[in-house]
Amino acid sequence: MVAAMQAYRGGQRPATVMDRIAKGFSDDEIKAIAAWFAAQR
Amino acid sequence: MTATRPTRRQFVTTAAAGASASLFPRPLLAQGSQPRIVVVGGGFAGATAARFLKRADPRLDVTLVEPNPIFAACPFSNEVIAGLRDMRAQLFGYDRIAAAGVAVVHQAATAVDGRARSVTLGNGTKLGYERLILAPGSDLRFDALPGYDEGAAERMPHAWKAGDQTLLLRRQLEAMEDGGTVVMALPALPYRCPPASYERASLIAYYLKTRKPRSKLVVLDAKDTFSMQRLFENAWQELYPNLEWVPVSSGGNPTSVDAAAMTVSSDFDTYKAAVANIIPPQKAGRIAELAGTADRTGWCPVDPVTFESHLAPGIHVLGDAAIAGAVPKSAFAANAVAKICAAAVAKLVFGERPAPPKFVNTCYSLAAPDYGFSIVGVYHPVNGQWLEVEGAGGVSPADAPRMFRSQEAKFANGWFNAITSEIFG
Amino acid sequence: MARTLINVPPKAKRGQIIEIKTLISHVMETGYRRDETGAPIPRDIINLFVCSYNGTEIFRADLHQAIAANPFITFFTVATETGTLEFRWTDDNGQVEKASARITVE
Repeated sequence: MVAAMQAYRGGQRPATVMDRIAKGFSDDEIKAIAAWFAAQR
Repeated sequence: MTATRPTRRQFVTTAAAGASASLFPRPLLAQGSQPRIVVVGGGFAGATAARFLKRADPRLDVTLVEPNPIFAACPFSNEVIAGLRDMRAQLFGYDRIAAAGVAVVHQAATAVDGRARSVTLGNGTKLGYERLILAPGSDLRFDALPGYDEGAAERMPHAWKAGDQTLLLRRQLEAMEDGGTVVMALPALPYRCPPASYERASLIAYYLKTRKPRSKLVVLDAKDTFSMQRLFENAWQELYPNLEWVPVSSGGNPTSVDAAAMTVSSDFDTYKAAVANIIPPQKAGRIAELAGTADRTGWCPVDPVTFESHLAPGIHVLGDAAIAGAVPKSAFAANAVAKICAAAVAKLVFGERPAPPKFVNTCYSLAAPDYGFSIVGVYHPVNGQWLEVEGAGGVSPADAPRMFRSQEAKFANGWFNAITSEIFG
Repeated sequence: MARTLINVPPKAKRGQIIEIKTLISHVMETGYRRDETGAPIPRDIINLFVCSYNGTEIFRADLHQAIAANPFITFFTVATETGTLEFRWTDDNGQVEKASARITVE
């Protein structure tokens, strides 16, 4: 998930809105989001 | 209970003054009683807040006060108006919220006593609260546009609160003879979900183009610029020669209506309407005003982390009723800030400090059933005010292919299904 | 040069105070901005607006750069006699736009 978010942010991964969203988050924040989702399983 | 109240109030004042966490007295509730949170208003903001309070901390005693047993959602109600969607797809009940442990009371809130910390309901019951969350949405101002009162709204629907008004406008469009002129009047900012007014114009134009080809739509607007303007204008140019947008600089500012004569006047002209859709200026829902949380503008200034009112401590205001910097008046933002507020309140009642929040807003608009685009913002509090994170967000590309537009229309549907099932499902 | 809109009541009683609304579409370029090459964009604003009532000047406004595009000017006057109201907008290039409206005073 971290890699996917970073790819959205960098524009390497095609998107409609995720690229615009990902640009608002730092690496640390992306890691925190991924950790939260991982804990939901 | 009574003897401990002053302590609690002291605590609130201290928190509002931003004192350090070590000064927070440990509130009484830790001693076994469950802190009661009352949420007024069961729309996107209030229903989310109630559900997420219970999720944040199951110990909380959460009551949701909402007069209507069925919620009618505004997003996608423009599709109902244009005959593209069944009204039933907009309706949601509160059963699952009750099943999640929230006490749902179908009464109107008629008064708030901030000192005694109680809310009075329509049936006379008084509900005490530890913290109150007001999410009453926006009220239409029937004193702002001359000629437009509640009676006039029966002939010239606003349809800016989903429900009977949505269906009234739908029926009027259906019954209109081919060749009739539809007139829309749009207010100045701020008001509930401004892009939805341009989506509505687009979808009405779509309906006219496909079903009433000799009719046209005139949009009188108290603004010159609006969100996603280029995207809307490109779509209109491509799809809707029957749509005439008259901005304020072309004399479009709506100044009065005459419901009996079915005319809408601007500064420079009077338009005869077969169907008129008047969206009047708005303000925070009435209970927000009664609770002393609304300022002179009619809206409610709030703290960005907790959404606690700047004017009435212990009362939080969410959704359209609140004015919180750059936070848009959208269902998406209402849902997002409700989660932030729920997390903050769940901390505050136990004397803990809430974490700094950040959230995303995405608003989709449809220019046609298979032609969608969006505006995104990422928001964070800076010096006590919500600002957009620079370099993030923005609108859909202006030069995107139709495939991109139809994808976004599909995602708009997906968003609606996701948000409504998260809250009501 | 530009599109104008005027709103004068077609009829009024003698001595009645009437509201007159005018709007002209104009860029009102301040002269302070630069284009993408860095060259200054020349000033181009409406600098004068005059209204006369049956030949007598009743309202005049000098406009400056702080006025937004598409100036909307509204003012009041007293309906004295049947006749014509004439409006004149003059811009920095010396171009003059004219409009007029009839009023019947009873």
